[in-house]
Amino acid sequence: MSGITENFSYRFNRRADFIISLIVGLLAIAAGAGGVWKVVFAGDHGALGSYVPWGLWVSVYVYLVWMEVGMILGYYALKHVLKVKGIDKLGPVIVMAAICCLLSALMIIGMDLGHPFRAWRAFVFADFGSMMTWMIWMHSFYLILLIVEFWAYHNDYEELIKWINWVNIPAGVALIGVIGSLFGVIAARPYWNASMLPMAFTVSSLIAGTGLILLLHLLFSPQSGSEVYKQTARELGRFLMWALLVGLVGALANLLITTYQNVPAKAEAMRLLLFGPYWWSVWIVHILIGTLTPLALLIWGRHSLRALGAAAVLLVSTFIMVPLNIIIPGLAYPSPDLANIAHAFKHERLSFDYFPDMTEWRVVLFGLGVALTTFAIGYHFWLDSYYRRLAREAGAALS
Amino acid sequence: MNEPEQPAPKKPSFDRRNFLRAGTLVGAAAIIGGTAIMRRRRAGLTPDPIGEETIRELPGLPDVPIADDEDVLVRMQRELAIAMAKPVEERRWIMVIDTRKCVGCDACTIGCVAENKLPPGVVYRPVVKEEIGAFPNIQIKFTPRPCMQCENPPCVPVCPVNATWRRPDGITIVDYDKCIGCRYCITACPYMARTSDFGYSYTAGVAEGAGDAPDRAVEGTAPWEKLPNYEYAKAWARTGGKKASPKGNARKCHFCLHRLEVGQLPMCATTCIGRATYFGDANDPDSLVTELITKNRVQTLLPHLGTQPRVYYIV
Repeated sequence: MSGITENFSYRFNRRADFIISLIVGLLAIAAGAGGVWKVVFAGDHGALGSYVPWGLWVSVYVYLVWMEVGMILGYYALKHVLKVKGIDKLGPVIVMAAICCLLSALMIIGMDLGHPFRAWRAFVFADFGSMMTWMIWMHSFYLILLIVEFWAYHNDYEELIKWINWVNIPAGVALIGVIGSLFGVIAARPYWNASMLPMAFTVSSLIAGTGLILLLHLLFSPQSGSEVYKQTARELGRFLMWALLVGLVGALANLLITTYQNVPAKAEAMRLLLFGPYWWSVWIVHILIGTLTPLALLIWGRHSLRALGAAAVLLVSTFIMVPLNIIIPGLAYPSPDLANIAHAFKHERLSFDYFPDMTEWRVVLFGLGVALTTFAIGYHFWLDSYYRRLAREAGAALS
Repeated sequence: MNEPEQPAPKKPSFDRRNFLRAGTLVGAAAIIGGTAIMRRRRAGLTPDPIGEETIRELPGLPDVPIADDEDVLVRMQRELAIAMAKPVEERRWIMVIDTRKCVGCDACTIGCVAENKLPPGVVYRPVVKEEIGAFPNIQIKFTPRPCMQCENPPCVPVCPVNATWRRPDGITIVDYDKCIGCRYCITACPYMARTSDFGYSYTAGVAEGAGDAPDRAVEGTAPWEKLPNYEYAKAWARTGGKKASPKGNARKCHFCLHRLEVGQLPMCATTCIGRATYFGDANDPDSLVTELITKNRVQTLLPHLGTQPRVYYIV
């Protein structure tokens, strides 16, 4: 216990945060409920089609899994490898946030299924030759691990937490690797078909997860205001900056190699991404707002907690563009041999033009609302009492 | 005087032992996973066709006249009967499309839609039109694109629930009752030969607002839309809810398996006005399709992917 509670202080000013989070979460659920109703009861499938069969929902699923696993992996890397001071006290918050991301991800991907009530078949009649089966199984295993870890935190089973940590690392890497492979093994989509895709997913997961850790640290650290708190934030910022730079170099290498070799099946998808109708989503939202601005804030504002917070908010909120820009261009360009297939038989579902419609956005809003509400309730009813108890046991002064 | 007890040096949490432990876990997981995947991939065909009906032996059709100048349809019909008399694993269905004869009339597409009662947005056999050259030196190339019924179908191993497989006669099929609608197989098909059934109807709501002609207003969907199709030798009526199969499923061309079972050629071969689509058993050395692929210059689509399509194009 002493390992956790030394230098411990806790600020009891979270009630307003709880109420605001709850209201925002419930409003998002209310706004998105109509979309969920349309999908479940009216068979609406948004703007998806047969030529672009995956879109916003799959992208948000990947984004949330990146967050969920990236947070856990980033946390262990920071705690065990880089020995960042004070990060261990954030463990329960991170695990709770990961569970919320995971539940939201499962809810959203469930909406994407044509027959969601048959999802159980993936457990009973699983085909382990499919990457999707592995994804479903790994994800379920990971959910169980996180729930056990949270329970262990709540009951101070430190030995169990340590053991779970050691299982969590390979399980997290495997889950992200499997999701990357799910796309990477598809030879029919040259834009995805790369052996480095699982690695790119792992790096992306670490970036997104570390961004969220920084944000959670700034908002929920039990040591808020202390010198350790500020120092930890700076170290997190530095780690995030390096992770972001590595990711940027990887993305640049991919861009240069793809455009240089100019194989139409890949290069056209890249061209569509960079100069197609949604060019602004890449250049403005992803690169300018989501990458270069946070990078500048992390480099030149590294001593300011506000700058670090702004960098984390910008990065986390726009990182959804990464899976979107991997998944959709990979589907939105047909093989050159069948370039005119969309004109062969006309229907709105047989088109390569895709932009998410209101139903899809509302389902995502609902999912994010579920995540926020669950987090607010979980924080208020479990984490708050957990930290209060630790603070009491440490006998620390309450500010 | 006792020496004050020194605290034991703290063991680093990420020591070599823990690193090896994590590494062993990763390695073991990778080996188990890799073995399972490779075993599944090497298992090859799933031998079970759907139900007893699909493997039943059919008698030949002795009444079909045999003549030297017979129509290719008659010949293919006769050869079909011979093939159907063989055990299922001894048949090897292929399709040959003579692009020199195809006029792009779309009769095959429409015949297929009618036969399988395909809803809007679902198509098994579109005809892709491509303009070659520049005006006035221009030519239009027509490429009918059914399912290629690949020897090595990339759509099969990706299915997480074993809802799609290749039959012993080489036709890749979908079990609508098992499919969870994840659309992974759709992304895996390089020919875009799978489409998702989004539950559309041709007539639902079309007569809404027909105030001056209430007698013509359609209540829900028109009765003919509720009639079942007979894919995979089972009646699939579109009378269920929004999630009743085949709504929500991935769908694909199956060489009209239900027609083959009753001794009929695939609908697209029958409706082709230019006799440009041929169908038959490549295991029969005397069949028309065998003759066509051995005596003509044939191509397959996207051969570099190694899928080994069973649809051949004469060019």
